Amino acid sequence: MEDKFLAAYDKYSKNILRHIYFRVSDEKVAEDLTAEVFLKAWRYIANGEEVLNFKAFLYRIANNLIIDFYRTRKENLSLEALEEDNEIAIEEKNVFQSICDEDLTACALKELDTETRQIIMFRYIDDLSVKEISEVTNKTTNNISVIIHRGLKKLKEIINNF
Amino acid sequence: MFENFKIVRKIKKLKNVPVRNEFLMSLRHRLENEIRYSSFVSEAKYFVFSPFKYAFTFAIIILFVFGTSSFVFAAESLPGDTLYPIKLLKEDVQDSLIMNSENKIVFNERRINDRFREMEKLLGKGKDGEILISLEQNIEKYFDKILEIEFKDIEKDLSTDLTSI
Repeated sequence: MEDKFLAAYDKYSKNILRHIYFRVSDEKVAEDLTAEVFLKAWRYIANGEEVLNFKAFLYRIANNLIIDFYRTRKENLSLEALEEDNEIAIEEKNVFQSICDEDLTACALKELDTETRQIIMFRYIDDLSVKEISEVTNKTTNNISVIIHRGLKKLKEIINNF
Repeated sequence: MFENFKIVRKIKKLKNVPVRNEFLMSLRHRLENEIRYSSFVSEAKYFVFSPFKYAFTFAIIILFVFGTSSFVFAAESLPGDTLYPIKLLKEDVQDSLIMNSENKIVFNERRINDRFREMEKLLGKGKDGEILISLEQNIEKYFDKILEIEFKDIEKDLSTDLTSI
């Protein structure tokens, strides 16, 4: 079990770290969350729980931790907003802004809504199958396929308009 | 369709965004430690909560009680008795623990005397045959051991004398 876990770490850690980095756009936070993903995964397995798809399982933990990270940040910022009487719209930031100048696709991805961008990333950067994405996001496979199809169409339009 | 393929290829290029490998290596070490620690804890937990704990403790007590008493009773045993091999085993262990050659010779002389005494007792009980042969073999073995130690000592003295010349 230990060997299998470490083999899975060697196989997926880089992708998980990159995925989190793309979504939180802070290297330090991405590293902290990656460490938490694997520690949580190990503790879950060590408790004797069964994991059918390890890749999807890791991405699911990562996804939940990213959501928690933004939720906590939003709560903290909302308090400040209340104090300053300002309306601050918090949305999941992404690293694509910083590489937008060098990469047109990154620019286009930045323009997508958060959910579509996440699913496109899961599918084409992290190489998750539609079924695995549905396990991670709790959406149906049909729903995922539609989001991917529409997302690619939107990306094409954005790129053509640049 | 072809357009889609081109876009997908461009998205996939984003995989080349570098990550810090030193961090991944240090996290691996941290996980290895976590794994080692949790295996240790689960083994300890298994022992503390397992019903085998009682069986294991019971076995240790039995082994201690019977082990100690068998050594005591074995001291008076004679060849052919169930406990006699334990007596010989105990003597072998004692012999192997003696480092000083003089003490080793004294110990083996005592063993020879003990075997002779056992022989007398057996003869008194009217026993003979294979038991007595095995006793004689043991006595010969101890003699050989004594001779071997003495021979080694003589060799050692000679070599010391020769080097001093």
